[in-house]
Amino acid sequence: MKEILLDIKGLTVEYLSNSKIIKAVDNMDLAVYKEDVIGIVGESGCGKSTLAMSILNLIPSPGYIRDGLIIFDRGINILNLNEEELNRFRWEKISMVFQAAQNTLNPVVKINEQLNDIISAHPNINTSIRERVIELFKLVKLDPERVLNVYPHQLSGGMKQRVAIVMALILEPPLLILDEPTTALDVLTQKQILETLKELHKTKNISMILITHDLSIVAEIAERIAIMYAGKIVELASIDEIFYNSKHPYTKGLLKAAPSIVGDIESLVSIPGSPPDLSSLPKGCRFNDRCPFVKDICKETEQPLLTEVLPDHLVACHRWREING
Amino acid sequence: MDNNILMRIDNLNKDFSSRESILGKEIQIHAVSNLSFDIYEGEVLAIVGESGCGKTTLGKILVELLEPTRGDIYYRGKKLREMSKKEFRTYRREVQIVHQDPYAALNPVKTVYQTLSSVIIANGIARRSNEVREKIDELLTIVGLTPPGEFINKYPHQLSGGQRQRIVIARAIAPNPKLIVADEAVSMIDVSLRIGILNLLLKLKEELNIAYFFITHDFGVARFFAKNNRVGVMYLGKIVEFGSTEEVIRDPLHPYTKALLSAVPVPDPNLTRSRKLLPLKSLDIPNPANIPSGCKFSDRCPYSMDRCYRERPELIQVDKNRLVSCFLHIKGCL
Repeated sequence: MKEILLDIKGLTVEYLSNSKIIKAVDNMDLAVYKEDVIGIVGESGCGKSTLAMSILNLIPSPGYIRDGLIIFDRGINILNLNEEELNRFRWEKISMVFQAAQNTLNPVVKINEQLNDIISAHPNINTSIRERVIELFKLVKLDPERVLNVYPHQLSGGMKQRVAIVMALILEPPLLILDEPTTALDVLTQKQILETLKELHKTKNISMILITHDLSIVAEIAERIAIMYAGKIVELASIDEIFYNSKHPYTKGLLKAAPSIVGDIESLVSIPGSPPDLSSLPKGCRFNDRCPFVKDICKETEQPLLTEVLPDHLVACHRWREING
Repeated sequence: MDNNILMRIDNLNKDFSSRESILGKEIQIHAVSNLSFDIYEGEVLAIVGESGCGKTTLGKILVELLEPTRGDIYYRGKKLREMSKKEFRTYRREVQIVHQDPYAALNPVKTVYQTLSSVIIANGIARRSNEVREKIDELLTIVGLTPPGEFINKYPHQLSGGQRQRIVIARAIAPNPKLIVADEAVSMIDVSLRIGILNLLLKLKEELNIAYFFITHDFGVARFFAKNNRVGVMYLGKIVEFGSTEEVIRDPLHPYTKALLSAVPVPDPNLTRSRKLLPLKSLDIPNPANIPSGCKFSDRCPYSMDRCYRERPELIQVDKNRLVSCFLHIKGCL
């Protein structure tokens, strides 16, 4: 049996903007298992980064977590921790790597001092940190001599992102969240970072949540994928099921919309329309005005619930049975 | 054949000077070096390269947003530097640019009407207000923003990213251009909408005979947009490989092209996990102040030979449609 590491239940996150309420994440359930690599895929504004931030209780004002539980390791509800407990929890239990590493690192502080800051903020951890840092640098293929005594601007974008990964892993957290970790990087560096993450997963058994808009990135490393649309998960399944046996019209649409160096380019089509305004969502299924299979039921009845249609394959679509023959 | 060359780029160079520190000595960075190629009427020429390869600098030079350090650009056979005022105005009207970021490219306090009307009036496309309005309606219809009345009085913040890029495209086609330099035109557009924007640009090419100089970092996008056309791969200011898009992607000859293509993830888990990165000696682009004196790729290339460190290879035709700048592929060099 797979053991649950992080259990998100009924999570709703809202932002208040010009007295309008924007529901970025709406009543979401998601379990992350031990040693899981789950990809959260969606377009801009679907709520994927908000989801990541809420796992660390980092939602910036004017956003707030309206409802829900985020249970870590079948014990702590992260949303109930006070500021001091949270500070200890972050980095030790869950850490995060952001899209732009150059914004993560302090530009006027040398790398080794930044690493020391993390360590000294967690005095309860006192194993041989120094050796671990060296080991981590080797794992991400950075020369510690070259990197430790310099300022961030003296490193390339890919090197900075690798330093950010080392920082995130320094206290050996069981869960790592990566928010578009390679989006700002060149394709050669990206491949290297993805290989590094695969290696880390294999050797350290770290669970990962990988947030991205790019299906080909998750194709490289994820084991399961959640497809998000307008604050909701619309499909959740193993990587093979998502790529070779997807059931939701949005997932199918995304797969047919991505130009690639392989496969048929003649059949590529974009999904018509654009994502809905999160402050005035359509009635029924949120994808209904862009869906090629839309019927009255999709506009009139309740939102479709995420339901298990095959073992470990969940879909939120009223018409999944008909449209999949 | 010569008569359908729209733009000729002849031995183009652009250097930037920079200092490593405030008191350090000045160094020259060759962002574009000795580039020569032609752009034909109505063709798509895609340029693929990583950040820092000089592709954006090159695009800016083609529309005269930057002046080259050395070398010349000919538009319709005329040297840009020797054009009369009238000829230069024609060039300015017929060569347009679409930038990467549709948020930054539009003035946030101008409505769609104001943005488009100023281009229409400045280029003498229409003058009377009912003619201007007619032209704007026509442009919005062409770029798929219908009915035009729904968009004409909107400000950029009231439009989605995809709609904004369509306004940017409408503005670019307003003066009836013959060449559009598109710099990462879909990189900031959501995946589900990208093909729509690319198809719009391709439709304009067919209907209005517009040529594209299409700059991208994404081989997948280049493959779609420049199908049945040409692609050039750029590395540190040089084009290292030129050829038909399909052939270059199917059978890359230059080691750098091979490396790039081997690193591109593909949306197919079984396939992408079996692809191996070409083992480069170094993953990082060399410091621009410290470029190898022989072949610029020699310090990273897994195949480099003695000669590669000593001499810089020229871009040489190796096949009917293929040019490569690598000693491995130049006959009689091995």
